[in-house]
Amino acid sequence: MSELLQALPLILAPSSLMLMVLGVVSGIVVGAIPGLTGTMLIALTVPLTFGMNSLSAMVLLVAMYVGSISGGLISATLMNMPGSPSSVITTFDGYPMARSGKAGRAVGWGIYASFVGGVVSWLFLVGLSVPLARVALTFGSFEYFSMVMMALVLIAAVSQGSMLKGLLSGFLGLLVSTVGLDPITASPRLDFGLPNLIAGFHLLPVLIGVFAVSQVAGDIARGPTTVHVQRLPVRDMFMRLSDLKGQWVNLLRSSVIGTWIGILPGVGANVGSVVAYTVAKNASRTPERFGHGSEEGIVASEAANNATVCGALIPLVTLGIPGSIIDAILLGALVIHNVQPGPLLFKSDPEVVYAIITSAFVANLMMFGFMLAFTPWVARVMNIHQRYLLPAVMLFCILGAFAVGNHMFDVWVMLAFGLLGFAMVACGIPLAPFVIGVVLGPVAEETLRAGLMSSAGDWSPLVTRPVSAAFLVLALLLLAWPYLRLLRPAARRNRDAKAVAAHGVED
Amino acid sequence: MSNPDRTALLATAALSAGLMAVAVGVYLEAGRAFDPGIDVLGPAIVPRVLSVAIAALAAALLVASVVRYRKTRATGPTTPGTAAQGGAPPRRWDTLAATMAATVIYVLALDFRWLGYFPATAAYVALLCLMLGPRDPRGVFAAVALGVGLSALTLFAFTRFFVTGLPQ
Repeated sequence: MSELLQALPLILAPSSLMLMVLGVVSGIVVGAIPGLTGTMLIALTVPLTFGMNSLSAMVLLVAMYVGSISGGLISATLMNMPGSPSSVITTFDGYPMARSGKAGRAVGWGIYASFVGGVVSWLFLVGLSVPLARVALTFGSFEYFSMVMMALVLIAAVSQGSMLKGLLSGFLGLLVSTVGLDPITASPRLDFGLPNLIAGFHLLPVLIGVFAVSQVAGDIARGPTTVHVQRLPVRDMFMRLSDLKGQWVNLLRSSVIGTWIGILPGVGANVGSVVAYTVAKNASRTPERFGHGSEEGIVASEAANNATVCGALIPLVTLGIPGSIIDAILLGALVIHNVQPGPLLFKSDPEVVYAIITSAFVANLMMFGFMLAFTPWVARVMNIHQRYLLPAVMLFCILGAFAVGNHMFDVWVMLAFGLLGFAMVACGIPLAPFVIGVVLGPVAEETLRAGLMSSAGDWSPLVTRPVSAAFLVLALLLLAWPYLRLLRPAARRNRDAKAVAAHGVED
Repeated sequence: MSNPDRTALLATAALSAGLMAVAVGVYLEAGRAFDPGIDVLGPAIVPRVLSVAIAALAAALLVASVVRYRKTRATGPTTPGTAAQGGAPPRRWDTLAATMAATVIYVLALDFRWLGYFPATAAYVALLCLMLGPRDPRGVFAAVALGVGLSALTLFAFTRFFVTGLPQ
């Protein structure tokens, strides 16, 4: 606790506050605009932080993270178009409420739920991060390798599309990460005789290409659009204490669900909101109202998706494992700023990790205030036609990729991976496992080979060391789960399939 | 559940075939890495294992796509699949191809210094706006204004504020 209080003056310094304001506001605006995502914003911002110190950079990026997850609520409610994947579930009840003249109340519930979700998960972040980091220090190479494999299988299992496509995506990401210098011998490999490939692919151009360029290409192919946003009465956005009391169980439950979903490596906010929504519907006295303008539905979705933010930060700061795609980009940002992620982060760069933790809370406070005050103005920004937004985004993609290393080769890499990302999305192959594979591939290979070197080539520690074995068993169970489900009675399978189809979301 | 879109199935089959070809290429290229023999696996094993896994998964996906494509042909006209099924086909291939071609030309212009950053960027942004929107006088004015404005803004912001490089 004392370390958190020591970090507070750094976060409350005028420069840090300004960066957080910028981050939260830009995150909310970008998160609100359909076709633009927080992932894209953060990936494009990382190259711009090269001139900052690591603390300022992380403060800005975390603020963007908080803002972008929350901003998606605005378009989800007013336009029935989720501004971010995490707000897909909010459209089920937010838009019907808006159509019945309760747009302000719907957005207001979303804002309050987002705030509570952020606070609850922040408490878990503060309470769990130090003990988890201490446990992680006992992990050896084999444990890390098994954990990464489990994370990959998990994200492949929960991603949109079949397990086959998820695994293919994950392995492809792992393969991309092997291009360049071998991590143990430093021998160039997979360079195909091209000098530019000897150093491998920089992470950022790959991420910008896969997420931003492919998104822009998809928007162009579908046809740039503009929408007309409903009028938003501000006074209806404020909740009374009696309103909050009526939803406290739902708020708390959904926040806890979102936090724990966020902790799972590689699983994002959209899964958290789906699970919380489903649980809320099952626990509700009026489940028939879900999908037709239920306030409980909005509360569950938004509390959970914001709770995943701090939940996903837990494995990032304690293990160096990203809890979500955005965390994968944050991990890349840490590396770019010469901060080595992992359990030793608390010892090597404590000011950075406590700045991340503290700024998550302050950004949540700012998000609450800004969204209550400025949502009607943010809604007007959404009237900007995509034919003006998309060229600007494309330009920033090119400049961002170039800024990584001042090499045009990185821009070509970005375009190539943009094409790959677009093709993958068009074929229903999820991008999340690919990104996790690219980010964690070097960790996985290095830990496996280092472990084998220390064990003189003996593979048995993978299964004889309890923690490593546990991760591998979990990974195998996740791989086998689709087939185990086939053993269940047919009627129950059909019921589950209908529920999944009703709540199906894109990655 | 609606039948998956046939175009998406063909695209999936084509992508799978492409990935299999890439996997073969990677497998062969991986063997060229120098192995000093200091560890058990060496630099080639991991890429080779991954390429075999990718080839196998891509082959399975190729077979599944072809089988489903044949089934959809046998059952007759289909309804378009949802985006979650990877089924909704792009509707503006020509615009997409044109904008991507313009992007490649823009990057070539910067890479080979055919034009300076400001004129190249202004022209690129304006061209993209015109490709995506109306080409009436108002649309042209807006496109040119955005191109010039964005070029100036990025030139200033990147060189003075963010202190990062710009092409040329």
